[in-house]
Amino acid sequence: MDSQITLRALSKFYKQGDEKIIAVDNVTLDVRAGDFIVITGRSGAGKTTLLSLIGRLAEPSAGTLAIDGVDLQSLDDAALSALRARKLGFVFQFASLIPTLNVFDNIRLPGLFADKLVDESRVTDLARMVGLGDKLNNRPAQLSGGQRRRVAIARALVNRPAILLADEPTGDLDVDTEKEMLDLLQSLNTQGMTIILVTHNPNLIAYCNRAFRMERGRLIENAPVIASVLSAVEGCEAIPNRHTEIASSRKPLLAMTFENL
Amino acid sequence: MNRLNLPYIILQNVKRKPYRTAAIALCVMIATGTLFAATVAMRGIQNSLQVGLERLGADVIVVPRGQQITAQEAFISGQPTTFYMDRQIENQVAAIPGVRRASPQVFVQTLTNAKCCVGEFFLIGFDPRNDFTISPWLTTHLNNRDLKPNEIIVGDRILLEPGDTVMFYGSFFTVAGILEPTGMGIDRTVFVPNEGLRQMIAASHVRAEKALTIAPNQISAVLIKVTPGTNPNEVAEQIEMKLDGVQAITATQMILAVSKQFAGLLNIIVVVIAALWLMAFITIALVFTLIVNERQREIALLRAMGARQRFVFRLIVGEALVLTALGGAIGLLVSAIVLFNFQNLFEDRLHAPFLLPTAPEAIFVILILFGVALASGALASLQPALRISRLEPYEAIRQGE
Ligand SMILES: Nc1ncnc2c1ncn2[C@@H]1O[C@H](COP(=O)(O)OP(=O)(O)OP(=O)(O)O)[C@@H](O)[C@H]1O
Ligand SMILES: [Mg+2]
Repeated sequence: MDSQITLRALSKFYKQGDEKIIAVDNVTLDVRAGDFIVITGRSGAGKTTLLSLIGRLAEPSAGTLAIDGVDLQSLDDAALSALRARKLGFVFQFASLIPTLNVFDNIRLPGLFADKLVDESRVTDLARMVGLGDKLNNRPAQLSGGQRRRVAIARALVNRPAILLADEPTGDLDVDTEKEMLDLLQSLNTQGMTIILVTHNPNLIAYCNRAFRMERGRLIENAPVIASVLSAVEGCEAIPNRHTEIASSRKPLLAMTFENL
Repeated sequence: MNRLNLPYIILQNVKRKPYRTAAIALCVMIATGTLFAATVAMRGIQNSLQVGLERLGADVIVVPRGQQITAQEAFISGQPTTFYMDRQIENQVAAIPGVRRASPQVFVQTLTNAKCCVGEFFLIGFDPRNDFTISPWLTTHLNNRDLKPNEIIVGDRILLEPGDTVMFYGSFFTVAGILEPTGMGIDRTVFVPNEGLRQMIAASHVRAEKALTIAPNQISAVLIKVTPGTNPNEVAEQIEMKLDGVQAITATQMILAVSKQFAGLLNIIVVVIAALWLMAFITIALVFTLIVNERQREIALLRAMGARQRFVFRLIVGEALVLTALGGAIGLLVSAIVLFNFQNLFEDRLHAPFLLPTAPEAIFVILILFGVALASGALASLQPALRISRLEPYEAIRQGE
């Protein structure tokens, strides 16, 4: 059993009056360690809800979910919190910084919950990697939307999570910055981090090894062939050795920094 | 690198809205300050009654019939009064079984504008040879010598020094001793030996602007000490049975009467303070309900990062504790400063016997009230803190939008 994240018939319903809204519908999925999964789908399809279920930020209405073989349903608050702190990194769809803390403190905040001492150099390295090495003392209110998004990415990485759940992490970014961020994620992925990324940008499929689309709560895996057609660049699994290819095009500076991670 | 921990995050939250922080602190400050003032005032009255009556040393006081209330006021709050009965009473009382000592006092019309002293005070003639109520409480001892007729003993608030010479009704007196403060009427009383008093009365016809009309055979009260093991109530009963035209009040009766007098006031104060606390409590509860609603998403984020429910709970209750600690500390400080600096004002205005608590007692009360303030703050924020800490993070994120 090499499945890191195991979803079995996972569903989430909402009641709105007499109407039953099915946000996530009977999703079964095995995510292996080191997978880079991209999920696309129309607005309201249930992508955010699915990510929340995987992080157990919401309770499933039906089905089961296990991470590293541990059924999350069986965990109490302490164990669940420890799992979130040590294994999971979240990047939310919305602005998600703590307004009272500066960039430096925002980035190292998850360390507080993992009982890990985050050294200063780790925080400054991460800030530099997301291009905000000079903004460490700024409050979130003093940052642009895209800068905040990048701080959120750095924060999600600070505890070296095994799994990154990223909900449109590049939503507010220009094409070049977006590429930098994705290169960063790509590199972390080659080092073994599992990434589940939700996006509206079909081009990002280029980075993944498995692509899914959500339709009214259902998760549908794209056939590799279709993926390659959909995407102008290499489709998922269409080119198995994509890691090496992308790695070779990586900027030397970034490559050097990643060694520190 | 500074520490990033729960207290730090709480402090950042406290600083977030200075006006709101100030408003809550003010609420707590008013509630705590008032409670402290009232507690100290009540303790002060109690202390003072106890000390005053102990000091008086009399188990029973005999006064003319019908003068009980006025007598109580004279002894406790120092309201000057004059009433008289025949001097024979002293000897008759002394003959009653169970009476160990009997000491007469003569009340003299008040002096409002005496050249020596500030404000209104009470002049009482006493018998130094038979006295057991005044002399033991002198702060400066007379070295076992008898008081001369022209020497006086004054209360703590007469503001005279030993050796000062003053003139009453045309006669000169020298201050021989000062009494310990009691917070009671005695503090505002000048005690003149009976011999000197009679001389002063006689001289007043010649020398004073206003002559005194107290006959030589008149006294106002007889203070009685009973023999050990005797019930003062029985002695009082005996006196009232055997002697005509007098009333015998026991010290216990006096305390009860005064306590009753202040019980009404106490009830009002309790109601007012309860209302203040309730308002402060509701305000804190309301503000924290707002706070958790406002920060729902932020708190959900913390949970997503791995913060436990317990952490969130402490974050909110901790903030309430900081705010109430701030308000409570300022309230207690201000209240203590006011009380300890304007003590005289309260005595004059309230006409209440009042003696400030000792420092250890005051510190004890301060600590208790500070604890009460903290507990109230924690309790007021309890419901919002529990609710937000138990809210499902994803739900909180959506609601926060
Ligand atoms: N608390 C709720 N009550 C009712 N319906 C809800 C609730 N939460 C989510 N939904 C519904 O669930 C569906 C999925 O929402 P979700 O946020 O997962 O969509 P999404 O795919 O992330 O959309 P987007 O791309 O716009 O972010 C939506 O139709 C939404 O209205
Ligand atoms: Mg979404």
